[in-house]
Amino acid sequence: MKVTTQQFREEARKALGDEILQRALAKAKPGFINKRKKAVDALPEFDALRADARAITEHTLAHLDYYLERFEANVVANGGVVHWARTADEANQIILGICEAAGAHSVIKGKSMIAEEMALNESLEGAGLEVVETDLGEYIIQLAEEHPSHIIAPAAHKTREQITELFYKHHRQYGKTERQTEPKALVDEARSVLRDKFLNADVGITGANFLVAESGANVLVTNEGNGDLTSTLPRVHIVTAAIDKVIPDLEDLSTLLRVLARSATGQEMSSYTTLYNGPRRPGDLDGPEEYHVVLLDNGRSALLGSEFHEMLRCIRCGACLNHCPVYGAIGGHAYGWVYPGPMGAVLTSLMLGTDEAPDLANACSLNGRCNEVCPLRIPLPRMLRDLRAVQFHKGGRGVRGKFALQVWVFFASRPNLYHASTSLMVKVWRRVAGKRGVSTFAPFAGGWTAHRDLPVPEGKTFIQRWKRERGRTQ
Amino acid sequence: MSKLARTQILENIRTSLRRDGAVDTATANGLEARSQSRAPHAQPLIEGSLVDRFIEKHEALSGTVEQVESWSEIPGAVMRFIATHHLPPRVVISGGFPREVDWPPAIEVEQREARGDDSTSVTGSLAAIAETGTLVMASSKSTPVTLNYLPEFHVVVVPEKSIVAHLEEGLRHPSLKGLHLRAISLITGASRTGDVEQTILLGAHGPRHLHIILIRD
Repeated sequence: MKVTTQQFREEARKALGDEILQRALAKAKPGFINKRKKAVDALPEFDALRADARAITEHTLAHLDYYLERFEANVVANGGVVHWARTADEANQIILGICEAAGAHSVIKGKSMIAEEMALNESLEGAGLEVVETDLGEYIIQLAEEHPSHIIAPAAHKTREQITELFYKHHRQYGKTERQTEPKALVDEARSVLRDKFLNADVGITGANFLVAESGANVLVTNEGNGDLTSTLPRVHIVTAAIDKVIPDLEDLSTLLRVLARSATGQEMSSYTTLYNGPRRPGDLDGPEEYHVVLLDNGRSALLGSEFHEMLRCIRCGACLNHCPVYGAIGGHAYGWVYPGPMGAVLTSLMLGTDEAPDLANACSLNGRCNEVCPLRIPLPRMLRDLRAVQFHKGGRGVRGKFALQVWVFFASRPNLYHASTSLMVKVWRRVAGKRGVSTFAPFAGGWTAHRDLPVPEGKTFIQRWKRERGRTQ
Repeated sequence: MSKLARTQILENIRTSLRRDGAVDTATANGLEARSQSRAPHAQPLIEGSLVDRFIEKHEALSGTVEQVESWSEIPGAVMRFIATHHLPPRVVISGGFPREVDWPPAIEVEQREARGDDSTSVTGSLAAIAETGTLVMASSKSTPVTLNYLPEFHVVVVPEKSIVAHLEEGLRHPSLKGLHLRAISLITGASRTGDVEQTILLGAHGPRHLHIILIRD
């Protein structure tokens, strides 16, 4: 996919002025927040589960090589094949190789963020394969030739009217010639069109929510059931998963499932959670003949043990996106790559580098809501600050206000000069503000005062008042 | 390519973890034993009747329930379900139903995997989980996976005594032990989607309706 992280500022501005997008975002946001809150409030053990979930992922990461090897051995014992890929390109080559060996013409896909990271669809289509997304949201944006704007609700930016038009345009070839406007009619039409795709595909590709080392299972969590049909109907099933998806055992899985759906959609459990252990068994009436797991690193092994290592705890629930005021205002596409919102700002900066994505770490008010709702308590604001520090020391684009900071350092490291100049500034400001005591002007903060009044200091600096108060009590 | 990639990824992980090679034997043994020796972990507290909680959770997800006394009443309950929803009198079923389940000639019954145009499936279940109203289904020669996902209407028979409290008991069900089945499915309500303007709709790709027949015996 085209990376547009360099154009973040323009894209964000465009998104703010896009009325249709703003309508879609306004509709999506309160639903996600309220549903999560209701589910969390109903479970007194939620914080204890979060603490356990965090400990599980930290334990796994500290022994990641061990659990990956154990997972691999169990997949092989179950009749599957495990492939390892260092880069997205290697993973795409492996998958093309499997499709070619199977003589495949058509591929159906379950929703997978790692496949987005790999730009798998482009790779498969480039080799002449027909690729059909089967998650309804992914299918909608595939028709629109767009990318997901949200990691669990890929078409969150689309309104019903837009979906009506997309289906009207693309479904005529299947004899669906009426414009459907009701959500139910739209869902039914997609079901009927995609049913044939499911029954006729050669290869099914899904992601994995978790990989269980103990049994070799890949765990797929969906609400529509599309992932299960994708895993079951085609001759060949390929699972794509990042190396940080592995967990030790079924008890760990239970804990993580309890926090995942609640944080994502406010459900206690998603409709379908399936543990797939390989190809069909002798005598089975359905299931794929071939089963492959492609394990992708793509820079993750290098994050282990670094100051950004906690990002590898992420289970992709989307809660940080749903609670982020920046995401809520501009949606996901402005972020310019696969992962949007707070987790995306961190992951994109790490995976593409801060030179390629200079604005993402700075597009955050450090309000801390993402950290509060994260089921794995990933310190996203701290990591965004650290990324700013990395950028500051490196210099270059994206570092704003470096000069202003240097000016401040000059004064701050000279206390007498600093006190004299601040007390002067406070006096002048007080005079300018007049009777109302508010200012519509603040140096270096024009963006802030353009829409708000700033209460000015009362005429004395803190140090002056401190001296006076202390004089009084002594 | 994959072999070299494997070596390098594992090496990178070990370098990042500041370790020379694989974990030593003592650590490996400790990790091996973690499942057995682990401290108890947090679980939602479940009080009162498991059956009541299971029904309550399932109904909250728009599912329906009929309670019967014995296996011999299953065909009658399925006929009632079909009549209520005006469905064709044809069902595709999984194997494993006891002999008392005697299907009347008024209903066409086939035991096989599901096909794209089957409207109703009737299956058993391995266990049910009161915590979340979840069904546990295991794939096998007589229980094809497609029965759970392709038909629009899915009727599941659940003996009350198969209801367990927590997720862990479902996943570690004694009858799964040692079997390396292809799929273990946890099913919680009907298929649903919120992808059109966050409106929750049932029957996205899987069943539109999940009906449970609970057997009291």
